[in-house]
Amino acid sequence: MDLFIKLLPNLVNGTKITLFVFSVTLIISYPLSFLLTFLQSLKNKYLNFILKIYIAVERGTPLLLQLMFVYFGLPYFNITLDRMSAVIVAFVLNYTAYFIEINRGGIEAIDKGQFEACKVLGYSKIDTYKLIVIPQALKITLPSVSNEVLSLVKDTSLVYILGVTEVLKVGRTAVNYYATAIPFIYVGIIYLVITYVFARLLKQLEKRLTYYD
Amino acid sequence: MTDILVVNNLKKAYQSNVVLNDINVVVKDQEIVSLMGTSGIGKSTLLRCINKLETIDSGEISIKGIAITDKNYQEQIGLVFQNYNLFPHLSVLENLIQPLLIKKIDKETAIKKADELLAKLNILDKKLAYPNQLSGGQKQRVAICRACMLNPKLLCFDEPTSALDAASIEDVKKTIKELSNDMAILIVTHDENFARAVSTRIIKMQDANTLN
Amino acid sequence: MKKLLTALLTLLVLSGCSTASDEVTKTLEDAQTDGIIIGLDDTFAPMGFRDEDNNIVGFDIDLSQAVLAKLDITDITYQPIDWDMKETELYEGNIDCIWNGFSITDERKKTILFSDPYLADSQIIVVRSDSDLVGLDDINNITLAMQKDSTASEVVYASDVLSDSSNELIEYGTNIECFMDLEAGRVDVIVCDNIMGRYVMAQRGMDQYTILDVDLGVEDYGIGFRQADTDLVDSINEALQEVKDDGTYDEIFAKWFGE
Repeated sequence: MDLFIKLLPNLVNGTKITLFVFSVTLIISYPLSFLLTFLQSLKNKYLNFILKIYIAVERGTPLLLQLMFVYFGLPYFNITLDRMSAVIVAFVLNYTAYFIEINRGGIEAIDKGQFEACKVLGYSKIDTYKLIVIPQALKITLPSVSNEVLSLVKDTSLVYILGVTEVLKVGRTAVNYYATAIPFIYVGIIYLVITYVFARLLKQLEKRLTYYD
Repeated sequence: MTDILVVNNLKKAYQSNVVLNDINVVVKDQEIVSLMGTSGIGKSTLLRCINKLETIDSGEISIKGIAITDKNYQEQIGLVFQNYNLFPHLSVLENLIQPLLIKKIDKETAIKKADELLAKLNILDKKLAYPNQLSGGQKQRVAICRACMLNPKLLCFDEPTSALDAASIEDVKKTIKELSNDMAILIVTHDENFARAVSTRIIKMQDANTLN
Repeated sequence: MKKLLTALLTLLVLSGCSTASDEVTKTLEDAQTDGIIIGLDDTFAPMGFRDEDNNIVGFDIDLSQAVLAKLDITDITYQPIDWDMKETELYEGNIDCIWNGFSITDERKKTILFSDPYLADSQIIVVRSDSDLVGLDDINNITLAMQKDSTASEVVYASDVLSDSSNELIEYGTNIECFMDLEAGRVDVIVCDNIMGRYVMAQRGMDQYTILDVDLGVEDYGIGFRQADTDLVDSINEALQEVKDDGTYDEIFAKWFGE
């Protein structure tokens, strides 16, 4: 308990970074994924080809590798980012791709009749997606999205590779400093609390969306 | 009486399969026309073409002189789908007014129109309900209201009796007759009794051509 | 995979196919005007690490402050990096040197320009204080733990006695895990470096352990620089010598390693 109190300030700082990376990534990548899903629906051959490659790369390589590439590899193409910017760019690129695939699945699950009703009522493509398709897709995809959200919490620990200190790294430092593995237990508890809170929030959201089942 | 729907030399083929071959149809104002024929003969395809849900290979379609290629065409026509296709995440009222709101019509006007139609179809009490809370017959009435929100000149029905009980079918007959005072009606159906009871004219489709 | 990418990037850099600006380099003058960035793994007690107040402290920190003061380099940044990426960070110019208990080896000299050695580190064999093992001859049919990819593991694999087939060798990510296993009785012997080992033992209680009287060789710590920065390294070496001569070094040593 003594140890926990000593570690608390650093654990709090580390957790702040963890939550920062988590929320910025989520806030940017989830809406962005809907925009790209909509663009995908316009069936432009060239755009869809680029998107296909982008998604394949992001889902087919480890996020850790992507982090390294964005920070260490891009300077060779004259794009140099500072550490936190590289983190956000890599995370957003990665999670947007996953969300696009999830959205696509959700939209395909929507009855074709919905699209036809929109057409017949004179809805533009944008209106169709904004008002009818996306709201329904949100509900259908919520379980998959929840999974990604919880993965994201844990993926934040990968930022150590760019020397950024989030809560797991704080734990590692403490383990080395105090020569005991107990700090890992504290870090584990912090992760459990964070994932529990978000899992509950998402469950609530799921419940609220069943009003029209 | 004025011509509302005019279809000339309509051809539609799916790859090498010709579904509609040189179809000519006219529906006049206040007519209730039933389009009948065996399954798969192309009556649904014809209905879909008229509603711009399918592209046509050649021919002309117009409603009150406005060609199908014109951007104002869609407003002239309304369609009540076989399975209604109501928007499940919106209330009945929202289902009705949203198509107006996106055309920048103000909310008050839209709600007024919605109330009018809901009252006419006897379903005003379900205004705030969600589609999943409605019976089949009620859903159909909402679907009819929604299709009429933009004052179409031609209202289409795709198999309106397929999911209804006898009482609801009677309601629909009455409703259609009332609506025909203000517009032309085109119904695709395989229910002969219904067609005879409600139509002013029946068109039978054989092969890829119509026969009056 | 990390190693693969590091190797790949290092290769790219060294083969000069960098399309970024000209090769990164820093002279003494540059360091005096623009400052210097020291790269370290800030979890590496007692050389360079974060204490409970989140300050970066350690033997290397104090030594670097003393040495750089002699060179009028006042703008010093301690940049936490991932240890596996240290060469990449150095060559991309994100840091100017690696100063963090960095062992000088022939392999590393191929890509890194080291300063003069500033601390000697040896490898030690540690057993529980109640153990019968006394010398190298006793080390057979036992379980041995060491840190993965460390000098200790190199030494073990190079030694016929230690890596004898009758011994079970276990590699862990950190020394802490090795010591925990030793205490739990799951391993009989640990091989680790003297400095890290003594730090851990001091934290956990020296009386639990015995250090065997075996000489496994010595390795020096040095400061790692880019090979082009010869001017800077020469100045650092001079300053290092001054710090050793005027007693500052001994003060710092006593502060961190007692005795």
